[in-house]
Amino acid sequence: MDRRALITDLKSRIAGGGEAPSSGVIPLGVEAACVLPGGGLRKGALHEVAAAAYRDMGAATGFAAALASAAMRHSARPLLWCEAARPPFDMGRLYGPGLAAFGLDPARLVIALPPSDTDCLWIMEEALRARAFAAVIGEVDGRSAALTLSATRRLQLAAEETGTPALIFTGHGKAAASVAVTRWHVAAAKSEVRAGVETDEGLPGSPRWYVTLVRSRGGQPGVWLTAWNGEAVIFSFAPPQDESGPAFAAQEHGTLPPFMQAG
Amino acid sequence: MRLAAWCGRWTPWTALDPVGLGGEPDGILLDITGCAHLFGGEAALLSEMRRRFAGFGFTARIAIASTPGAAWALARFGNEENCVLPEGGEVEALRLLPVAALRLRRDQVDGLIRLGLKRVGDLYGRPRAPLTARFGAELSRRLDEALGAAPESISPARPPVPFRASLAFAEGLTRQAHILEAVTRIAGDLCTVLAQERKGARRMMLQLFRMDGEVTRLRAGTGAATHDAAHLARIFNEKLARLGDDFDPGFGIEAIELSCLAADPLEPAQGDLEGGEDHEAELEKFVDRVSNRFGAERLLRLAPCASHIPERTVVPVPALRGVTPAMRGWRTYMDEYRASFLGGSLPRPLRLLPAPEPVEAVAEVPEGPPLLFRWRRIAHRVARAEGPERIVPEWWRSGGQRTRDYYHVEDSDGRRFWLYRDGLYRNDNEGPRWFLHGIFE
Repeated sequence: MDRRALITDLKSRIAGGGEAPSSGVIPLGVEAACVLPGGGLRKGALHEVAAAAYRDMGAATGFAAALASAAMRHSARPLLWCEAARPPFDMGRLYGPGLAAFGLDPARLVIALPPSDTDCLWIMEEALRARAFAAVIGEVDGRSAALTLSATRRLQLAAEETGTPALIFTGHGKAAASVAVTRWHVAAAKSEVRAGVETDEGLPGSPRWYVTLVRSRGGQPGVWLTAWNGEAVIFSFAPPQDESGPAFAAQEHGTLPPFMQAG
Repeated sequence: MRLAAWCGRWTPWTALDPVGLGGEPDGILLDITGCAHLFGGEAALLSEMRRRFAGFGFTARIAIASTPGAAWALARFGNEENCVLPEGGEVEALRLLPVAALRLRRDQVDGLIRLGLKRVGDLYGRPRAPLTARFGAELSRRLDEALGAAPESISPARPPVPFRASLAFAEGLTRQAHILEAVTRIAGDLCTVLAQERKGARRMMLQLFRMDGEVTRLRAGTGAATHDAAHLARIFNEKLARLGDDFDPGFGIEAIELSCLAADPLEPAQGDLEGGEDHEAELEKFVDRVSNRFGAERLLRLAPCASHIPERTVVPVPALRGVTPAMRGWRTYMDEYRASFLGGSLPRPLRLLPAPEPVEAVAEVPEGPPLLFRWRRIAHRVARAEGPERIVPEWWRSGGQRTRDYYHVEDSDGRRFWLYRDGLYRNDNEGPRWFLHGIFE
């Protein structure tokens, strides 16, 4: 094992259980802990995930599912996922075997198909207040008229009262004003080349995403190249290796985070 | 039929009378056993019925008797003074009525009259055998039924309900808030009865009786038996709220009734030490509320299914049905899935398209993965590919499906897709078609 792999391994081990951040957060790993208040994703709060572009909806679904898996790890409760199944969420429906391969147990998934965005927000709030779920995910287009500031405030209040993490998947592009504690933008990144493959092209490996923390209340924004290990339910966040990846990061922010400027 | 349903306000046992005077059904039968005292006795019930029907502009002929046959006869041939017949009075009351009062066919009635048997009383004490020989067994049966010597049952328009609670109002309710309040009250009444019997409701029906005779029915089901009044009230209140403007109380709702159509025995809940039961119960309530508001098909769980065809590997099951044994099969599914590839991995996408979408693809070699493909007007250059994984159609199903060769491909930006080539290469000029079936994370 080379030095770099060893360091990554040690870091993931530390994140995996050695050091417990405060109980009100979902641990996402050491790198994220440095910038997120409390050392992880706050449980009793509303978070937002968006794809950088329509083409990255798959990657954003993956990141949202990974956050949900991390939330489900320390809970016996199921996950509620409200599927919109209409544009821009028209890249297929959640697929059980795929979720199983990803590391999310389909037996612990409840899928809601709300007829409208307003109904989706209603179901989400009911689910949060029911205290029956490990996490609640809803697909609501960020440009939807239903997603008002007061609607997000209601969800934030419900999440805070019950300590259940709420996540809105806002599709792609800019989202409306919201009180969400964090907002993540996700773009696909080349997967890790699987070991033991001779050809230079290689096979698709485990998923990686360029993740930009666009907004973080009480914390700092950041950009990472994130890998997900479904079997171990471990995130690893690393600084992006080159600047060519998340072009959207600069647009969102105006300035690049320090480590990217250095690179 | 609607009138028969409307009569459900007095008794759950209502039916259209199968026999009428001219052969066509022309009446409604109500079994008021045990119901009359709720309305102040039989006479009071009768005048209440008269008043209600008069309100609609109907002139109703009503009679109450111990047998349906006697009531039938009195309603059609009796006079209004003696239409509440005390038990055992059938023989006297029917003596002077014409034989047509016995619910017979026209030819039977004509035949009896020709023999000089004009009144029901003329048949009393007559030897049965000659009458049966001439008019069939029906005559004797109808006579016995009317006099209470043979049993007869009313087959109700709706199955009887084991538990129900109802509430009537002096003034019609028009405000939705008041109706909701009333529903909450009768849910409490129903649940008190259910709790005494140690039963929990599974299926329920709420009936709202409007002043003008319309009946609104709302049905609801629960995933697990419950006698939690607040929960039941909330389910119906949400259903009512969902009706919104579609719900028209007209001149007002004058009575409501909540019946429990199906009930299951309810074991006293035993919470475990970690409070695990607690969130299960909360989940059940959430599932009930959402399923009843939006429909059971809008809240689902996934169950694995023994099929290799990707779109058949998983079946959505309404969450209202609870956790079925099939859903527990995911553990086995995952084990088999891993074992089936000798420890390797079979890629499966996170999202599967409802129907595979055709793509334009260019492959380097006929049996190889695509190099380039265009999906939804965007071109993707394939950087890495894994496959093929051959999935053969299930021969026991007809439907002309072809062998599919699936490839897991990654484009130059790292986006990953699940593509397949439909059918095998053959020598004809027609190339194979490519489809995109799923999106990876």
